[in-house]
Amino acid sequence: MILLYIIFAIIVGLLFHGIHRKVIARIQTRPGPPIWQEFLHVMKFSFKQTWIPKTASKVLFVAIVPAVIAIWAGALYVLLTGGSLLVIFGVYLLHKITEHGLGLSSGSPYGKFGAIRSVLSAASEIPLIASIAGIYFVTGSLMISDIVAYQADHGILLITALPIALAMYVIILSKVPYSPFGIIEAKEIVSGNKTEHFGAFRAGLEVGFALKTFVLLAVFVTLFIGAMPFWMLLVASLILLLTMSFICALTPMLSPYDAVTIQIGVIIIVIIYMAFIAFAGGMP
Amino acid sequence: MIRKETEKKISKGQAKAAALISAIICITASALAFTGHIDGWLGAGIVVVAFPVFVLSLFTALRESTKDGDYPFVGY
Repeated sequence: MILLYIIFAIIVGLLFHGIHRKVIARIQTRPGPPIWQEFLHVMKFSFKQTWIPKTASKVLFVAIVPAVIAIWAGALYVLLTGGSLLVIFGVYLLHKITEHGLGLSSGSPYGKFGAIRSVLSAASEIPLIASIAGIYFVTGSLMISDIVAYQADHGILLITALPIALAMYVIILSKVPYSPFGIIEAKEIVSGNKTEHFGAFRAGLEVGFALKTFVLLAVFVTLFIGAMPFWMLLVASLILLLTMSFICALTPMLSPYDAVTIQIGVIIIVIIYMAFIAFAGGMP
Repeated sequence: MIRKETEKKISKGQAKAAALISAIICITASALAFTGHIDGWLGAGIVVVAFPVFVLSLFTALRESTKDGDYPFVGY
């Protein structure tokens, strides 16, 4: 039942966020919050006062929150049914639009800067296009079910298409909290595009972002490791997240220029790889 | 900075009703899709639309009142 999967994904996503923060803290020799801290955050925000700033576009300010939850709930359904990777890409694009809308809806200068930076970080969509194109080059299909079946016959894409996996890894890394690519929610602009969404709206956003984290991790594991029991998917997603936690703990936040430069570099690597398999191995 | 509250008031009762209605829609659509009475994509589509409404209305129903409390005035 899709509803149970969505609720489960939200719970696991919030737990993943908590584990992510805990691991970052321990690497930095800090005690860190408990791993259920994100649950406490959601509850805390839901019990707080909620209002809409005077300068906000009321409809956009409110509607953007259910939009975030809805698009990732849809992406989860596509993943569970082995649907098209292009839909996941579309959801990623829509998420970029919601990031933009979040920041611009409030009228706050902090939100505005967050929204502007989300446009800059849209450079991460190009590695995503490149990695999706690379997956098609290698497997001949964009359906998740076909990609999983391909891996059953030809080996996991994590080994046979490592540059593409690295590109996707960078894309997901750019979306986890406290990421070196996390220019949108940087502390020098308070909370960036999320600054003016508080109370019930912020609680809703945290739920949506938890869903996003779960879906992105599960997409990577499914695309590059293949079919596995659900409990193994969770373990693999957690291990993937822990590798990102190490990177987040040990790297400073990049400047917008550096973040875009690195993502452009990833695109170049993927393009070179695709040219190699096109001329050396041939497309399927 | 003077905070001006300009929210259109949605009462807790209205938020609770919205949460209840959207929850019923989500559960019904999921159950109908699971039992095969409706297509899976249709059930998922209904849940995708109704679930965020449920989440937001639930949190809105739980929110703290925005009326100023009766704070003791200590004078200055």
